[in-house]
Amino acid sequence: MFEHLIQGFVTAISPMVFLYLILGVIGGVIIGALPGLTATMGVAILLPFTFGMEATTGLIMLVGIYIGAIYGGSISAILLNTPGTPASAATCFDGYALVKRGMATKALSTSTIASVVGGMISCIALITISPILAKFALRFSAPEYFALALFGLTIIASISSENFLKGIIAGIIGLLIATVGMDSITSYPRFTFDRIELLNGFSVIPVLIGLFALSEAFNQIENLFAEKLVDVSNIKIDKNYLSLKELKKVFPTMLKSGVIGTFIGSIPGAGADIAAFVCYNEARRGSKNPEEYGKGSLEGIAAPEAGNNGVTGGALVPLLTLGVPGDAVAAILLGALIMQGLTPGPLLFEQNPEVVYGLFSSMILGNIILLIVGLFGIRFFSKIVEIPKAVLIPSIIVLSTIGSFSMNNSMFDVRITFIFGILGYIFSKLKVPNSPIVLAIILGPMIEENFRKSILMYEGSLSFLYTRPITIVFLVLTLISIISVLKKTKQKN
Amino acid sequence: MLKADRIFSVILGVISIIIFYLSSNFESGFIIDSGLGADFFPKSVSIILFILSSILFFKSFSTKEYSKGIFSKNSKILGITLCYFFVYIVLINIIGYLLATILFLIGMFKFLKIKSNKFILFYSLIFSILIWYIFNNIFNINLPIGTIYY
Repeated sequence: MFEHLIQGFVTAISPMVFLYLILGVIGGVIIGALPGLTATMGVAILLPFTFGMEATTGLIMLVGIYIGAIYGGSISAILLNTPGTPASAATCFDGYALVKRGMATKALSTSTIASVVGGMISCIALITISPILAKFALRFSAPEYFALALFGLTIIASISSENFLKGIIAGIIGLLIATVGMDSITSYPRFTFDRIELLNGFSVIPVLIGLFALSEAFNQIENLFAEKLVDVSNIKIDKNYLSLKELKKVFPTMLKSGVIGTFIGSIPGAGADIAAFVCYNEARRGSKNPEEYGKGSLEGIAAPEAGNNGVTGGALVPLLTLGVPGDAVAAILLGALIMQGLTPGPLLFEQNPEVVYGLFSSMILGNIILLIVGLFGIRFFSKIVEIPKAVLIPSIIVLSTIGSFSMNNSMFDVRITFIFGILGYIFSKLKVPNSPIVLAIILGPMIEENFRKSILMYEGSLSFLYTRPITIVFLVLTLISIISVLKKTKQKN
Repeated sequence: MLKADRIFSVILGVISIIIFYLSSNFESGFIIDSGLGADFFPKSVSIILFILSSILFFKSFSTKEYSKGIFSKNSKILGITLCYFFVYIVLINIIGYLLATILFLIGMFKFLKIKSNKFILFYSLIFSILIWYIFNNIFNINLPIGTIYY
């Protein structure tokens, strides 16, 4: 493993790759910092820039964008009291309170250091856990993959929406979208309406760009004239960084939140926003001064920030080892892997160790870059958040267009993005979450193919559902997740 | 919201029936008897969708929540943006990516009431040329040149 890791570092520090990593982190921070633009959107619109690159380089840049974007959200949360990404919503409470007391630099530097600590912890977990999990997953066969994908889908649908019914409906819509194209076992063209472009089904990337980037842009443009212009001229950026003494005090909170964040990230479906809130509440619960929370507590910034960046490594664990994305951003990374001709899953560790370990080492380097960018860029951040949406939104539309086009050099994909952008907008109005749709598009073929393969393996019998231990575990977990959500819904009513 | 839910559930119900009908017409030329054909998955999913949309439909009657429309007055801005976007997509094929993007950005900025004409022109030109250059020359992706020039 160490041999591979060192090889990974050698790849990541080669000048061009390193440059792309730096650009990725900076690009991610900028997009994350813009209010209203989520990390998912950031990765979706910057993804096309990696198409022309070699696989490892492209993925390394994407990881940089991911780390940067999750961190960037805290900048507007702290400076404007508007979270740049939902993952930073918890950071607003104490971050903005500190800004009002004239301590913007202290708040931003705390969030930077916490993010890096959380990110580093998740990197260590990713590097140590995933090879073991991948080895274990090598034992998986079709029935296990079927049960795993089913589990992933139910947990995603149950977590991602306030309304379980709508979450599940979103998942089912995704499954239907996934059936378009040639059937993987019999090669029968399904719902292609004699269009050659649809023979391979909808390309995941244009659908993703439509659902996550365009639909967001459409949502934002609606309220454009009603919103006030951002003014941060009264915010004082001084040299009052987080002191060593203060760091010592909040460090245990950062460590604890980083671990919790990593764990939450590794559960399919639970992403950075959930991690941030859980860590915030957990830190307040265990704090000696819980009354300070919400009034400018440094721990109140450190906990959610270490938590949400902890997710970055955690979400990659199921993605790389099992091929199941941990959250919406991981789903985009999965799309990128597939586009580069790689199959995520246990075999990736054996067949393409250079990609896996290149990713690992670039995550560590990415976090170090984030520390430098975060601490030295504070002065520039107050400028970024001032960029008006009237400039941003048309730019996002242009980037989405070229992004979907450049995947297959096809205007057909641009039209697909356009349609899914409108659909995503309508879904958000109906409070139907977008993430289960995308994850179902990815997991759908996995569920179908493995179920039918299992039936073939067992010559028409369904006995694989109750004779294989790992399959049983996943199916029981699926049932538990459904029952617990149903119980919760009942209690609410 | 509830009225919207009702309409949404009816649309989903109709879609599930159409999908079930279309999948029933799939030719099942499968050789092994125990295997499930191409129609199995879409059929099962459409049945689940039908059940779920029925639940959503009936739920929309039972809850007494305040019902309001989902679209606001501001949806007009979005409507016009969508028209601009549609024209942009059509124009890319006709006049080429670069020119279409410059025109789209200028049009959108004007529509979104950005005051400085200098900024509009400067940003639209630089942004479009930069994107075009990166994708066309660095990533070697052939962006549409436009049919009008042939």
